[in-house]
Amino acid sequence: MATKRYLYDGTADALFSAIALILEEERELEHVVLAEREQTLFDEGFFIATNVIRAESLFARLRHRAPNAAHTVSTFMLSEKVEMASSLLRYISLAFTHGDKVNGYFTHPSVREIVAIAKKAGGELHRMKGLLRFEKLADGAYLAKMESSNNILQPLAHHFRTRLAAQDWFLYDVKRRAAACWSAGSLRFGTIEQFVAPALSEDEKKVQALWRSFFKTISIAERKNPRLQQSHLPMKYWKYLTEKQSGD
Amino acid sequence: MQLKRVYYSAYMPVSDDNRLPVLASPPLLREHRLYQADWLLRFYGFSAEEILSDDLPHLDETFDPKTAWALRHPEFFPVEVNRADYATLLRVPGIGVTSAKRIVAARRFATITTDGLKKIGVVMKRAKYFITSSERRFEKPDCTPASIRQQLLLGETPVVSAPRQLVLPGLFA
Repeated sequence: MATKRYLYDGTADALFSAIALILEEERELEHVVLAEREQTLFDEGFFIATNVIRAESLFARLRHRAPNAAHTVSTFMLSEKVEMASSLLRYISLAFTHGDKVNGYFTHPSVREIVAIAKKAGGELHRMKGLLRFEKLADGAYLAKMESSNNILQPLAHHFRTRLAAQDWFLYDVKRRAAACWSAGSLRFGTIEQFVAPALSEDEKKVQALWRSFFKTISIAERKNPRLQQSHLPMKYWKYLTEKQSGD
Repeated sequence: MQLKRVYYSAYMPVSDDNRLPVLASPPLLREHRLYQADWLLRFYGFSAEEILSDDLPHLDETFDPKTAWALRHPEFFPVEVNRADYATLLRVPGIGVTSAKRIVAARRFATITTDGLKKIGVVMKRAKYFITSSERRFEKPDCTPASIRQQLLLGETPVVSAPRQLVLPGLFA
């Protein structure tokens, strides 16, 4: 049997509406390929138009049938791995058949891929909750910058809206130019075209120096273990850690 | 006394006073073996008598305690991964707590093959001598404990030559 190629236009809603339609139409998913439509003349396949209602209904049904699998899918979506749409299609189909037990199907390649990537994305989200460093700005608000591998800005902002409800703050994802802003009790998301580093407040430099000296003081020279430190705290996060900056 | 767990630490002299015992190197392998045995007691359902007995009062340095136990009990093996219960799976060298749980979860869906076992995370280097998958034994059925011992040793590159770790000062003076 020849492979059947379906295309969607790259957004999450389009992906879910495509998956919903394919699950309705196809009996056998083995030869089905789902991919993002590219802007070339000769891209072959059936294009599936976005249908938000269909996408939302699919996700609601999934959440009803297999809440844990739905959570895995939404965590997987943070990773923005568009090339794995076919795996996601198979995973969701299996989740409807087997319910929440699907995450135990370790011998199935699609399940393994989706679960592994969801685990990575969820891990980074959890890690970033501890690794964000807020800097106090001149106007009293706080700013935290990050460069995460996964697009975790939304869930991260929702974590801090309860955690730091009393302060005004911004989260800025440098890699994606996306920002979250919490001020006066409302959370907003947006993209930033041109980021201008705002002025820090007067005592921020002193607090940072204090934090660095605390970090230096509690370290035990005899127990230095750079490899262990790197496995808990990968170097890609060091750029925005106050204690890892030399301070001038 | 509510003792939950024990920590082990290889002896490392803090000063080089010549009245202290001289060590060629800290006995880190022994420390590692003690932890492995401890884990067998705490998480793998082994009893202390199964790991050490009056005939074998010391831990084997060349094999981990679980492999050593498996080599002493050829009657227990091979274990059929698709049917054995969780406690039995835990006794197979190369299958740990995580792998055993994954096997139990994954075999509800489909029969687990060699490839599947690798994907699950089983250390096939050790496990292949002790398991069957759908009645297919991975190694030839005439495997004796002696030949398995030989193959496990040859397969694992650094064969420990068991250096004498404790040398008393004054003995060669």
